[in-house]
Amino acid sequence: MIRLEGVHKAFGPNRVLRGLDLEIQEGETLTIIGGSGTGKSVTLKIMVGLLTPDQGRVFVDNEEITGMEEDALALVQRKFGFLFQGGALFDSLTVAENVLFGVRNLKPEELGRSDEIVERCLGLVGLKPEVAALKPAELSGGMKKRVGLARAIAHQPEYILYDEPTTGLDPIMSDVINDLIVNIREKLKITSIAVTHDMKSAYKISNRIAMIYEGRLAAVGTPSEIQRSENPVVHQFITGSSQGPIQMPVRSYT
Amino acid sequence: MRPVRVVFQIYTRRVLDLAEAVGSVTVLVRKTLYWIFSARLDAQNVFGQMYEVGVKSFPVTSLTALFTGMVLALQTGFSFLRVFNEPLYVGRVVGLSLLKELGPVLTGVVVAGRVGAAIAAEIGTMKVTEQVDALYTLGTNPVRYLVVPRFLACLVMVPLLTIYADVIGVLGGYFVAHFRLNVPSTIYWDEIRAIQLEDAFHGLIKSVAYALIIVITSCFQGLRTSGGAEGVGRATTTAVVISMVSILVSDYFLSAILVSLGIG
Ligand SMILES: Nc1ncnc2c1ncn2[C@@H]1O[C@H](COP(=O)(O)OP(=O)(O)OP(=O)(O)O)[C@@H](O)[C@H]1O
Ligand SMILES: [Mg+2]
Repeated sequence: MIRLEGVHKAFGPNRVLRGLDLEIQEGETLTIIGGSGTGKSVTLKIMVGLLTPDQGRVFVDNEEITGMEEDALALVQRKFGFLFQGGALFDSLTVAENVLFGVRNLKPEELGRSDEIVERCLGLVGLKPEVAALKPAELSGGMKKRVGLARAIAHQPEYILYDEPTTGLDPIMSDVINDLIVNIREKLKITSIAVTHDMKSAYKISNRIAMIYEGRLAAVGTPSEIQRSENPVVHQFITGSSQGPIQMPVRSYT
Repeated sequence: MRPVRVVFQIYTRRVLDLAEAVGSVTVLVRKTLYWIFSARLDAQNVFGQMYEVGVKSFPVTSLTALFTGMVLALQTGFSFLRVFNEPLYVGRVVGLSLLKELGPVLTGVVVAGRVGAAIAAEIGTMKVTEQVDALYTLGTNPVRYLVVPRFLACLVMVPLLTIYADVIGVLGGYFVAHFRLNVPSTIYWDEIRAIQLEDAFHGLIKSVAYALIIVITSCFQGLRTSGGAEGVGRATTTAVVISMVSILVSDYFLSAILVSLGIG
């Protein structure tokens, strides 16, 4: 269980989160949606303690992580697998070393079957075993994303945070990744939080969807509740219309 | 009244920034020492960095030291030749200058340019591409994984490189003294042999201090990088400039302290 209570976060004058409350229950997949730059990635980083909120409290398994000492926080961070928006692969290491990085630090007893782990995790994200020997610089954008995903799940964390798992993938591969996320939840009972702009994927993978707007929670509910939502902000977002209460600061082309 | 206040504010800001940086550096050093002593060292990583810092700096250190030794011999020789009609003390001047000053300082400056820049750029890139964040979520600490190996590598390799530079420089001085100034070999080497152990030690202590300056500055600048590729460039330049200036400035004070302690 992860709980955010009244979280505020600003970067200089840019007040990104302004009192966000959110609770993620055991075993569910919650998807966070919201416009670009509304603080979805920031929210994920706050959940793992990579960013500290200016105000408010964050709980992981009923333990407050805000203001925790580094050592104690490191123990909490072990519970998480994190797929970063940009992949964040270690570019001095090969794909195989990247995938095994968490296993090496957190589950060293499993290193005996390291080849097996690499092959299995790459297979789960639709990558061939040959990729294992390559360096991240030799991969395409979508491949990097999938290696990042393989790395996030390799050490079998209790929570997985996916920051835009299907961005940059073709439609078929996106659906493969959606199936993988669903399978991870159903088979391994892992609690997941995903950030996505892809509504098709959001409906498919989520138990609940939460929308962030102007630094707060605008709505939260099951996919069908969100689809039927009367809230104009939510309605505009999920139908992807440029007309509505959310106004993008753009000039029209004349 | 107004301009005075503005200047005052700028200065208080600078002083506060500096104080904050000093505080953060202290925290970084404390964490580094903590991880060196409290966790098993990743030997492979440490040796890898030693190779990067030490072995790969051999060519540039060799060239720098060789020509420094040669020019020292040349200048000393001709200066004494003009005054005394004889190239006196070439070995002594070359040896002492190299061991006490130029060996450690030039090696420090070369390593600051080569290794300090590389460290700041690599860690800075990792910072802005979220690889440093990824380390936390994959069960390790950036100070442990990134700083400790570089710290140990510099601490060991910079003094070794300095000794190596001293040897190459003295050899370079010998070539010029013997073949250009016709100083007899025995005289040159006798003067080198007459150098006290304390003088060599003087230089070695300095090189340890320079290693610390380089590695701490560049790791610190790397870890505090923000703002994409431009930020990485800024961190790299800052790391190199601060390391080089600190080496040259601290050189005076270290020399004064060491001399007053009777070391060299
Ligand atoms: N390290 C940082 N320093 C300064 N500002 C930041 C930092 N990280 C995020 N921001 C700012 O916070 C805001 C939210 O960023 P965030 O990355 O969370 O957006 P997002 O909702 O994930 O957007 P997207 O869908 O485009 O990924 C942005 O305006 C961004 O400029
Ligand atoms: Mg984002």
